Amino acid sequence: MIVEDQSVWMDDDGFSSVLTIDVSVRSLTSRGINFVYPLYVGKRNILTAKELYGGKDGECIKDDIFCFEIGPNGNGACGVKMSVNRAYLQNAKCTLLSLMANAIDETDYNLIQDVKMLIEVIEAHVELGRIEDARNIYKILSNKLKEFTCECCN
Amino acid sequence: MNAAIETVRCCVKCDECADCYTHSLSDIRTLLVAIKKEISDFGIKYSQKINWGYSCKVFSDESIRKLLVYKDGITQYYHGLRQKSMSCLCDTEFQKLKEKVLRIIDIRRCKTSGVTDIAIDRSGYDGWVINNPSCVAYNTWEKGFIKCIPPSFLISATKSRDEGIVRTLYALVSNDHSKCLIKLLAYASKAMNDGVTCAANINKQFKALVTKHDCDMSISVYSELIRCSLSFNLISTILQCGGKFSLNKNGVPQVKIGTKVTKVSDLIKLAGGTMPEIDNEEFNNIYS
Repeated sequence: MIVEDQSVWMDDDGFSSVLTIDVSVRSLTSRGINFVYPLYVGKRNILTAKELYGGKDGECIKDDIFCFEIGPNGNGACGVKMSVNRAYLQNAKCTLLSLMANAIDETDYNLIQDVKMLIEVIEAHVELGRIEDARNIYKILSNKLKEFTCECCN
Repeated sequence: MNAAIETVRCCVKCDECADCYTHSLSDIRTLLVAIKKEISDFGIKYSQKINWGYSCKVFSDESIRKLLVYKDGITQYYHGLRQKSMSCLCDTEFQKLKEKVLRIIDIRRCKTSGVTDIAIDRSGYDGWVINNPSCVAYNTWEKGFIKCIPPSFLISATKSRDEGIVRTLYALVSNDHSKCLIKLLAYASKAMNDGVTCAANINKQFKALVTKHDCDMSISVYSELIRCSLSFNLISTILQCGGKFSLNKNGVPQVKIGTKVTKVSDLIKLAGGTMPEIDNEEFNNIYS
């Protein structure tokens, strides 16, 4: 999982530069992921299954909904609490790619369109804080994908 | 309007776009969030249709498919702009893309303030500012200070005899004439037995005492007695009774009455010994 800080930081005289900010990562499902890590600002930070839930090196991260939060008292937060929700759906997307590669007829292409649309809907729901709606759509997506496997992640 | 003429993009050479607004990152982000809101709303109807067999309003699948395509293009344009990298889209093309989106979604969704996917809670900001005065401009610190310290905290300051507090308050008042600070200063001054204002009168009072009682008390002893909360009237009465004030070897004020030497602090204790209370009503009568 790649987490990137896209903030625009003040760099004029009189401002001290911040190297890292403390980011809390929390799973919004029942998986219990909850930890704080120092995020390097202005860079791409990579979180693996090992960091997230003590998984093995190279293990795929399961699809999940995460809340990323900084502040108010963490390093670089300046008393302000900011949070964003993001859906991590790489396994579903991986399956979608596999479907695209193996599509033959109209039925396959319709399925691809449906799956793509459902993934987009889940991501939109999560980003807007509609977590319960996202869970409902995820159930529909899981049903559609249950007979397909993603070679790269299993 | 875009000032750049014939901007060179990675794929094409762009002509001036006379009808384009300059798109900021924030505007594009708002547009993206508005698109996501539309997709999310569609998702709710889709879910209802799957679960119940119908939904309140039938959305056009075609429109959503178009939006998904436009979203990808706008997202790419956004990241290109953010990373200051070359984009394949000219301003004219981006404007066309934007207008296509606005034909599908309600334009008011892009105008609503606070259209964002980031939840921001600033309730802890003033508290942080108070503890980090060197991190912000003075005016910001001052605002945070006033917001964080309601006038009700005045009581704690009134019990202090530390002039440092009053000096700090004076410094604040000289920079900010807000009613609450002036009131605070007045209350603190009153509670300190008028310690601030009496400083100017000490010399006058001391001369009156020395002249009246023909005593050999020094001004430093008198100042120390005032600092120990003895009033002018009390000192005058003790002198009248033949008492003599001095400082012991540690600089602690003491009084000799007859042959007995007593520390002033012990005298205050014997007299019932606490600072006089000033209630809010009295304060308000005098200083409001």
